[in-house]
Amino acid sequence: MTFWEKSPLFISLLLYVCSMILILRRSEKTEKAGLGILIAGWLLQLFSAIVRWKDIGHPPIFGTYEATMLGSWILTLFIAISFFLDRVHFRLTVLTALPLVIAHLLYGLSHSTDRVPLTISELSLWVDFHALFSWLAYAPLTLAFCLSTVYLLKGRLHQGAENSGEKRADQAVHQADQADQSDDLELLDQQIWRYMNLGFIAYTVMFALGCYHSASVNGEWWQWDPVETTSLATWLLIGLYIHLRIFYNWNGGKSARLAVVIFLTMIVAYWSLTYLPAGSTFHVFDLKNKMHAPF
Amino acid sequence: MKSENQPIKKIWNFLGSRNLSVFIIITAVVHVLILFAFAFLIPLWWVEKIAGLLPYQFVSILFLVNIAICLIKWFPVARSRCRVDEITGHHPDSGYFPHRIRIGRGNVRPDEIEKLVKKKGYRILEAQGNDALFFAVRGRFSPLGTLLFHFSFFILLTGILVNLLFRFEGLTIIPEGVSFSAGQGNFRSITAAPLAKPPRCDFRLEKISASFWEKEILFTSLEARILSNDGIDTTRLSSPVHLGGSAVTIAGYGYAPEFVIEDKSGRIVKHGNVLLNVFVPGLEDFFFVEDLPYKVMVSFYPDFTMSAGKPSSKSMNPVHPAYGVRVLRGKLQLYSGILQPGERASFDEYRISFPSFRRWGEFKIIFAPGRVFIWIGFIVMIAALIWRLLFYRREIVLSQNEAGELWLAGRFEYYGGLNLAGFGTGFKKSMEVRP
Repeated sequence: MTFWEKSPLFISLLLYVCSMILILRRSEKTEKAGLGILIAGWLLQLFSAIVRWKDIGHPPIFGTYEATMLGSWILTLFIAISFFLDRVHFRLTVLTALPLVIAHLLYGLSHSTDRVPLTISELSLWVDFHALFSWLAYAPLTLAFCLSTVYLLKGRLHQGAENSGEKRADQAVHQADQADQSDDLELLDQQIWRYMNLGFIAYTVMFALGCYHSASVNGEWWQWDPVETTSLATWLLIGLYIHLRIFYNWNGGKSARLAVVIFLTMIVAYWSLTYLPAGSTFHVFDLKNKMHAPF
Repeated sequence: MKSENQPIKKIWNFLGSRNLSVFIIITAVVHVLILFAFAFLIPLWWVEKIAGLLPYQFVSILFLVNIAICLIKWFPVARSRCRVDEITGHHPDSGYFPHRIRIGRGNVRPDEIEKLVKKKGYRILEAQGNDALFFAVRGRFSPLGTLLFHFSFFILLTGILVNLLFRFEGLTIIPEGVSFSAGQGNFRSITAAPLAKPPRCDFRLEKISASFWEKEILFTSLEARILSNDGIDTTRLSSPVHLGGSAVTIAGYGYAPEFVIEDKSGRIVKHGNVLLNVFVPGLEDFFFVEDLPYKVMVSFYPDFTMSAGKPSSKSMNPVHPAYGVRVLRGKLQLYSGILQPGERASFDEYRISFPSFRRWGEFKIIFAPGRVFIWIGFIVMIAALIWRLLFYRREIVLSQNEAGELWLAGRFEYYGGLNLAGFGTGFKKSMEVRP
């Protein structure tokens, strides 16, 4: 990595940590300051990516390092957008999702950062957009997962408070608190649903672009490549989530648990491919881990 | 008569039921995860075979039958839901509008609220004597998006079926400077559907250019310039050229060394280019010399060097080519050595040389008329999803109670609470708002 690529990246990492501390301080002023710092970190990460793009001559989408950089960058973008989309749960989103951004960055940096060229099967705008939409799907589904875990934890606490049976002098206030928490959980649940829907749309676009590219390169729209297979499983599970919500009013804890399962399936789809046997997938992201066929 | 129809009706209802839809999705997920598990154990082409087995076909057929019946059942319902009176026919205080906020009393006018509502993209509908001041709707026809999304599967199916019947795929090897015409006999291998015919595809291969990454056998670019009736175009692995409805893409690369066999007087006896599979340095291929009892084994070193006493190649770029040559007559080896362009090797009463080479490309020519349907299917699917999930239906009604308080009630297909909160934020600046 060159100086102009490395430095902004490490600074953005620091800024993410600072923004997290500020946002979690429960003050509107520090929250806004934290958001500003988060956006600054995001811009620096973008700068680092542009420098790399300019040096290697192709969008930085190849290899574990580049993939995690892109994934963390888009996830940060969604976290920042959630300030405007879902102000109420912004702190929760930052608390749960920003550590994942930092974890992504550290995971990516632990891999080789050597500049490797794109293999010829990936020299295509279709691949660039396919990769972009794959991360545009990843980000909202990750946020849905984060909020789902919060929902499940809050739900347990809420349930515990309801079942505690303690006599309280301020019973009316207690009941009002419970009602507020119920409303909050309902809003949280709906926000999770919103993220799942956004993820579903992006996932479908990703499929369409990937299928078209596969048809161009291999002549086949679909090949049961393990990455395609697990992505299809994830997509079907999101479809199931939507059907269960609409048909059977599956909201609350049930849909939150399903959202967690969907996220785990997606993790397998996105990150397991480096552990697959050589030659079992056309999605080769790391030349060092697995030698691509000559083409 | 009625009892005869009962079983059919039961089957019809079952096949178009929501329970079956959910069951099919879960089964499909399980099937797909089984294929993923197999990918760790068996080669990919075996996984593809398993995916074509009866259980998978059965789930796919059931999936399509379920969607078809659901579309037939739900189309009238979705259409009726799009009617205006579906919204305006409900009283503001009825349970139809579950979300309510109090706007204010005396400090705001209904026309101000109407303006704000219009700004949010709603269309105002006149109230029809049910105590409402006005109704407003956004995304009124959005329920049709669900039908369109599910219908797109049939567009995809059409493309798949058309390809199953008419798809043609042919592989051929063409050296530089040679013309090609797609006829049955001109392909090295063909995969053709029952009704497929070789497409009309004529072109001349002008030039192939390739570059490699460092010393690795890894292409950073592989392009072929072809000349057809449509002019000159460049095909790459990831971006084929479309000629006569078929896609032409370069899928392989190799070398066709030029060989010259002379007799002792220097007269050329045999001469030509041979298509050899010698792309990987050191990999040996062979050819027989016509009318002569010789077998010539050849390997190719594109950037020749000696390394630890053995022939090797510094890179994959053919800048200093050399040939590893062995000439055999029966089992008797007559010559073994390295020849660079301009050098000759003697055996019996002949001499052989390899003055130059041409590149050859392996081309895949695919005619898949179902491609258009598949592409349209995906576009319709995505458009329908966006229509349904982003531009979902939102209905609101403004009413005034006896105390003169203005209330805004809403019904939102998705995220009711979030929408209500959004309204509250929107109105906060201009008027008193309390849920």
